[in-house]
Amino acid sequence: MFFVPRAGIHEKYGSWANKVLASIDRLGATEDISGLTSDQIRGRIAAQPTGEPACIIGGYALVPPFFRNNPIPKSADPDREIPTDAPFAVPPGAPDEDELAPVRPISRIPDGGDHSPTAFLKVLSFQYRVPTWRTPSGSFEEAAHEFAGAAGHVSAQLGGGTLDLSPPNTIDHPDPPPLIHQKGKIHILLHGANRSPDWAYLFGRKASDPPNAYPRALSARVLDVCDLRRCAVTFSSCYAAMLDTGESEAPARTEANQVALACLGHGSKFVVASTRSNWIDMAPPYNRLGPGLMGELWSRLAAGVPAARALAEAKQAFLASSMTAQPRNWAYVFKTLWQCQCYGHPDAVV
Amino acid sequence: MPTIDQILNLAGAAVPEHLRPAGRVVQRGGDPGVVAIRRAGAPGAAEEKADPQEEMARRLAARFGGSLDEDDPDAVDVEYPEATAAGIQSTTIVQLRRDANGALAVAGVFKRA
Repeated sequence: MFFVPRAGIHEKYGSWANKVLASIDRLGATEDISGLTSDQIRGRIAAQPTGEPACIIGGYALVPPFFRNNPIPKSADPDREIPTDAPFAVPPGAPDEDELAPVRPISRIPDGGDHSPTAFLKVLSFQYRVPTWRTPSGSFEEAAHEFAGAAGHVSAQLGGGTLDLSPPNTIDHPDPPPLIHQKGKIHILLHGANRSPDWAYLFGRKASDPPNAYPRALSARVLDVCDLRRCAVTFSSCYAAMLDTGESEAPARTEANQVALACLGHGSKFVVASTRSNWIDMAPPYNRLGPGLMGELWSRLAAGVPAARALAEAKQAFLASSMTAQPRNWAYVFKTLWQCQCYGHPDAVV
Repeated sequence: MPTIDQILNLAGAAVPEHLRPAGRVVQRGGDPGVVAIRRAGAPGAAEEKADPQEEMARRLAARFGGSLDEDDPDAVDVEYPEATAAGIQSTTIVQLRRDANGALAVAGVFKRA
């Protein structure tokens, strides 16, 4: 079921609204959530058959996320609030901890923060085709050099091939688009930023390099020229799913400055990424926190589990293993779970 | 009880050299002579009041057969804040725990991406 803020779409897109809504209606069964509060939307989703995926249509201006306080102390993690869609998948009144790993699969198909109907129509036209699309062969995996271990853990689950590291790779060399075009499975573990203009870029880093040495490795603009139709994309980077503008004075997140939107705008079936900073395991076996969750996800995606369900199951497995092995790391575990989102068609398969 | 210098030397070996001067010890609180700010891996000492999120964690730990109560009084986290580079703020955390032989050792290293 696709949950659609029809009134908000009319208000945002004006004369284009009917065309946008027609494209949304092509996706499948819809339910109008105009004028509903977030908890009321939760109630509507909870009324759906058990286990049926729910997909929210629109970015944060149309359907605001929930926010949860970051349990990690500010000295270690300056992110104070975590935008999350996870509570939408949990009925109102359920135990708070259920939203860390909801049983119901949930995703969002976001539009950009600007008022471009053509950009959203393009995304919707791709998303309409997702259920019938075969995933191309091949993979593209790139990580900051210092995150090679964690990226290798994810790569083993993804069943990928070569892992590119930055440095030596940069945004200029080798030229990224030919490496990324039509690669069916994509995973990125580069550094991300939460302020304009750096939030449009992803950065490499070698641990032994001088401080402040973060070469640009990818960007929304680079992804903007890549053919990502039918591709599955995940990011273990910081802020790759961040749709809000945070503390920046920049007006909006769009395909031009937001990597997940750029991927969806160029045909990716789905994008799984985090709305805030991700914690990366730097020591063997590299299977905790961010990379741990991503490894659980890819093992399910590679087995053909649909994207939103794969993320739901991955979160459940990750929560169980984390709270069993290292319960005292709960603050980091909670943040990892809350902030990880699925954007795109919930039934997309790799 | 390990000294601050012992803790910093042990944790410092797990991070790049340029980070080591900035290391700050976070230890399960109350011990004299230690820069104690908060329990390892837990909210600040100033936040010792009942925390709904911590209560969630306790319920979940119990669900999976564990506990949040620290059975290792020497468990420490050491934070290494890293100089920002235009929009990137990165902190490395080194976790020290007693291993099976009773020696304090690096049990985990995490970094913000």
